[in-house]
Amino acid sequence: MPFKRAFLYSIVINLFFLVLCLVFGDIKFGAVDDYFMAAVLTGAHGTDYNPHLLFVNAIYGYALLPLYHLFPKVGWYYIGEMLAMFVSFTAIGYVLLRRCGERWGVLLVMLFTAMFASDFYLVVQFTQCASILSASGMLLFAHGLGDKKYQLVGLGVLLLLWGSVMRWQAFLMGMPFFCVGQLFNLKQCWKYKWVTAAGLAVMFAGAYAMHHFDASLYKNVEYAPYVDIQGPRVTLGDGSNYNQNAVYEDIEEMGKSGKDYHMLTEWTFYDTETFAADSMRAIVDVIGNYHDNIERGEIPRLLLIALGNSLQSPLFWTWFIFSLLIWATNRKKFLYLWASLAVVLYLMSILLAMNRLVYRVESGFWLYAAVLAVPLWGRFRYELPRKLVVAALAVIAFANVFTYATSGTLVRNPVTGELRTLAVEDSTDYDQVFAYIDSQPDKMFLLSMNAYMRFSHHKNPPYLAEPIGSYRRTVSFGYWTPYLPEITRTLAEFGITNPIKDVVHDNVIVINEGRLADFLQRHYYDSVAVDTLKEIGEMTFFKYRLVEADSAAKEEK
Amino acid sequence: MMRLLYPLIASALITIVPFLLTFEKGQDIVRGLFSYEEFCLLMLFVLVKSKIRTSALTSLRTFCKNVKQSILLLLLVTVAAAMVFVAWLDLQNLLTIKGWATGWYGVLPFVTCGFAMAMMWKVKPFSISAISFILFVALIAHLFAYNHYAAQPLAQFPVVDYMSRTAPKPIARDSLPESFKAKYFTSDSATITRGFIDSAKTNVLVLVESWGIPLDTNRFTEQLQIFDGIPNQVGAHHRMYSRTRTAEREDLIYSVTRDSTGRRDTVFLPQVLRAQGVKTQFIYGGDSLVQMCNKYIRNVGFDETFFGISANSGVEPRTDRESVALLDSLLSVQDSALKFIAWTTLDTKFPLPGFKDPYRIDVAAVDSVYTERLAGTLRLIADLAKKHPDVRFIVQGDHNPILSPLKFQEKFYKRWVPFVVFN
Repeated sequence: MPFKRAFLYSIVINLFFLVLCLVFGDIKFGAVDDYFMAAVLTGAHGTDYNPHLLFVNAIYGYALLPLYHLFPKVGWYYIGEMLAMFVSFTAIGYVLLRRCGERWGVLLVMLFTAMFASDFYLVVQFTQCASILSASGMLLFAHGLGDKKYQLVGLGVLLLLWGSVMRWQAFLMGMPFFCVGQLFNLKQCWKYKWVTAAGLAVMFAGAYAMHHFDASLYKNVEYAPYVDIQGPRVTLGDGSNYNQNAVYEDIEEMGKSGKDYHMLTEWTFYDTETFAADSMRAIVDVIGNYHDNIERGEIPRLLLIALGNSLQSPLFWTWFIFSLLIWATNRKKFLYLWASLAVVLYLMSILLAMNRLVYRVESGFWLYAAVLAVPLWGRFRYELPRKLVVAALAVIAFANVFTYATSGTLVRNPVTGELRTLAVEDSTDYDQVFAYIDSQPDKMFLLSMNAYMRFSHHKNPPYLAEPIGSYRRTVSFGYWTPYLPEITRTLAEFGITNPIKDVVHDNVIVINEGRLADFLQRHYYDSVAVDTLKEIGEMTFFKYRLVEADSAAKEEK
Repeated sequence: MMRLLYPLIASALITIVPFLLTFEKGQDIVRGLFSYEEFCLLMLFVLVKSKIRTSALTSLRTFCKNVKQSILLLLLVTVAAAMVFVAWLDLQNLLTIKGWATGWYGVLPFVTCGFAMAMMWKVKPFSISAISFILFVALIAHLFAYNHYAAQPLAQFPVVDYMSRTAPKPIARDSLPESFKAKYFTSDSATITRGFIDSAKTNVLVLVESWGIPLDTNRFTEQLQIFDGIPNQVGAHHRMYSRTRTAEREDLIYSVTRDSTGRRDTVFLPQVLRAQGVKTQFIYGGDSLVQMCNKYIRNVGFDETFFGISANSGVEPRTDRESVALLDSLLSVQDSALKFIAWTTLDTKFPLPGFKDPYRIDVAAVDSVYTERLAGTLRLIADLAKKHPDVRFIVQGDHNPILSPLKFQEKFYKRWVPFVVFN
């Protein structure tokens, strides 16, 4: 199929699904992380734009800054991610069309896009973005070599670099697949060894340079407390693959408080004294002793189970079909199937041992394995009848319009893979909540992490930027935002140096965290009382205050 | 079609024959229809066999000269051996579930594999890529069917099952064995003291720090020998948590009531005894401020407390020897009032002195220090009980050893502690 027509077809098919998603879907970020990264970028927590995005390379932030300065109201972070996915899908579609000719190509592209449009466009998420960018980059790279189109190789390298920016780990996880794919194409790589070598060199040098640049941004005094807390925060907040009871009891036996440990596991950790990085690390040390231990002999059985679960993922079936197409068209390369399966199983067993095998990571593996099967296809000798293709296209298009129209808001949960909606059931009137907060401009509001996350669903939609300062007076006790320099600065302006300890200050109101009195009495004050100021739906505003021991005694008399 | 059906049937034969021959009514064993690994080996077997030229087999000498042919023959034998081996594992997996000895069933793998190979003898081979395709599709078909109907899997994976079956299992230490229960009195209750208090006597309650029940029964018997010569009753009881603080409180519970609003009200033994005119005292060699010990001990209802350190005074904690001396002096006070004295020991508290890190240390070294210090404390208690035969002593562990290397912790039953009652 000619270059231009392949490109056009691919764009048309992708636009069709993009429009379906945008019209019928629930336009939200797939993960709260993305929402808050966008908010950090637009300076919602402080007074200016801040490209320190923690999970995503700051280069992405810097690249978007000019756009934000030109059109400050637009959510460029979201648009950038959507664009990344659109470009990736179009690239994959283009290669499929070039490879398989018009009829097979259109059918396959249609099927491929139909399967994943919802998983990607409606669950916008930086990890998935990185996987699809890297995968399409690898595909363009391999295809460009075979097609002798070096500009495609260059574009592939660019997409790979973009993928590494969106999430370094997802990019790295793709590398074993890239290697296996290239091994099966060794002949071609050797034939164009200079292009291959140059492409790989630019890719690795560029990716590592950018990664290094991002890491260097956090190596300064301003970000030291922020970086310091990340390791323990992740272990305590996310980790569940250890004996929590034993950790609790050991901590008690040491003379520390098990309840403090519980608070940490529930993401209430913004206390700069009691939960300083050192004391959190001491607890992480105890956890290290009680990690669940998966015996080596159990791994094959667990892998079979994991593989069985993968069958629920559309990406798995794509890999399955793409692999069978290798068998049908280019039988010599069929071993790729076992090689790629081996890589997937190997990576899965590593994640299983860490208890971190989640749907979005796993489907990333299948995506890489599936996409890299495409360059190994041979010629499609059997030509489909034209009428059949048209009929199939019509059925797919109609079926998709129907499903999107009836259940477009249902998306796959990125952790478990189950279908659900992104909206959170919550009867609270957030306009009232925000109005209450705005009505007291001299007060600082400290939130439980859950309340903070819920705010994200009721502020601006992703395609609009969260304005500068919109989160300034709402600071979370947990999550990955505590200790961000702009938050520390704002807190200092309100006279707060230690958020949890200072909840008793007159200008601090706490939302949805009414059980701190016990902690405060354990560590700081003799007697603390808590009053409920206001309740709006599921949001409760608390005021903590110190109780004078003497006056209390007097009252008793 | 026959080329595919034959290996399927043959591998089903290998899997199902032992199953049918050991079948009992009412058994609940989920088993695949055919063995995936045997299926793979059978197809390989046919492939290798087809590559061997029968003409080369006419004389052993000519055959040995042909390297390629001899390698192929070796391969054929290996595949056949692997088939028998996998069938053997499969049989063993089955017999282990049923708890049967191998016996004459040991013949089965050889018979079934022999039959299977004979069946395959005339079957035409698949190419290597066809085998790979079939295996791939078979695997996915099995997983797909299994996801929808788990009661009858298609394929059986004997090697995977074997590996999982023989993988080291965590040591079972949640419940006491029957042999222990036959020998000693055991109770699921967390509260023991209330039942053994003698209201006509002075009572001493000793909570021995980190005294657990060893998995090794001899070790427990040795500990009990320290108490030889004093009238005693030995047993074990269960604890809700492995925490000193909980042990100190839960053991002294007299009653727990809930009022109409659901509020819990706990009455502690010292409160009850104090109301009866008994003098209640508490001894602990450590810091009174750790976990607000001073506060909850006061709430439990003790008249007098004797802590080793009150604040960060720089004073070393009181050793068990010193605590026993103190306890002895309290018991020796001559007055008419009955007493109730509780003492939590300290010498065996983890992390033990002399070890820098609680976890990354030598298990044998920890074990020997612990054993020695525990024996020391128990001996002190035994001597005191001998000296005051008119006083009732209730001695028990507060929890099994924790805050130590896991390998050491695994020498003790979880949440079970011993108790001994003297006089």
